[in-house]
Amino acid sequence: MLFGLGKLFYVILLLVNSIAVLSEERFLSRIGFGRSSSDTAVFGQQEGTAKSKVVQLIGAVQTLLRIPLIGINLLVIVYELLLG
Amino acid sequence: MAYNPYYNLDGGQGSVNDRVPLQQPQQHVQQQQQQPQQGSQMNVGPAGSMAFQLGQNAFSSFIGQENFSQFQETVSRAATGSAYLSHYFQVSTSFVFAKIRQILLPFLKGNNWQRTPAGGPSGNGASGTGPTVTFLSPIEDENSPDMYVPLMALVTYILVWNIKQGLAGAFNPENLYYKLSSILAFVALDLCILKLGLYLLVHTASPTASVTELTCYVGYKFVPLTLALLLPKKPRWVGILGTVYLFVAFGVFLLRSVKFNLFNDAVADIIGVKKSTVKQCNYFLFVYGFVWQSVLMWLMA
Repeated sequence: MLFGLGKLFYVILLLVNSIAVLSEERFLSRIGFGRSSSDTAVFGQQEGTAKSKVVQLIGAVQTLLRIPLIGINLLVIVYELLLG
Repeated sequence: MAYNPYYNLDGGQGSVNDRVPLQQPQQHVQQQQQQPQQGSQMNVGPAGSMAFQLGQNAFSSFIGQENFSQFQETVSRAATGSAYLSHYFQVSTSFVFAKIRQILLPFLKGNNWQRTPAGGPSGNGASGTGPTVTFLSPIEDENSPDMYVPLMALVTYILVWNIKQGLAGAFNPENLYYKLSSILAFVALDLCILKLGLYLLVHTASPTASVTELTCYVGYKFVPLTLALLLPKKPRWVGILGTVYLFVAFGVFLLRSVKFNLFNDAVADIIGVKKSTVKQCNYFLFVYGFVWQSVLMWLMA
């Protein structure tokens, strides 16, 4: 089953897009994944549980990658429109 | 034209392939061999040292003389230590055999799957060991992951797959590249999932879970895949049984080798690891090791 590097790139791009559009105030706080409700910078706790790391990861992806993702999405859209 | 070792006698006696008159280039070489003494001591012949001198001249005129010595320092520092790529390629024949035996028959190995750390016999005290512990290279330690076996297994797998296609009459040279690209995509996907899982579960960013090491662990699955391709298909139950055994053995190998090496970094971490984390780790590794790898290997074969 050949699935190729190009398709993998598209899959990863779509998944990262989906993480970047999760809204902090409308969705993440409702299901308890909000940044204020979890104890990220507590002294004495080593690096937190898996859930706090997921929250940190989502926050980091959103902060860092929102703007570059706009650029990459534009490139992919232009590629798909022009070159089929 | 300093790369031609017979340059000095081209005006005199003619062709480059003359091997008899070699006195003149050797004098030329001895003058130049006293110059590159600062960085490296290599025992190469006259042609090799000529090439080295030319390379050094070109590089230093490109970068600048003082940057060149700094560059030499960085390169020599990068050639040691366990976090760099050359460390994973230092293998020996006996290591390769031992590793393949570990992958195919992990049940016979017993309980010593831990890698021995370099640099200090007992790391229990607070003195001596720094924040990162380096491990022994694959030549000295049988449990250490290496990159040679996965790389060779990958190339062998692609070749064997295409040979099978060829024996069935459907060989196309483009298929080599298609198969390589597809396999690299699977490897990248596997690496992402493993790295994500280990990041979420184990709370230290340790060198045992760096991307190069995870690539080693991901690449080991090509060994059972290659063997699964070579199983006979005529008695159908033989093929299926052999494949199932190979996948299970690989799952056990992966589970044991990754699990025993995850909590290996600083001594203080062993005390700080909670029971629930260990249990979550075990569940994740079990699901990853058996279920996901079997799915991947079935998709790739």
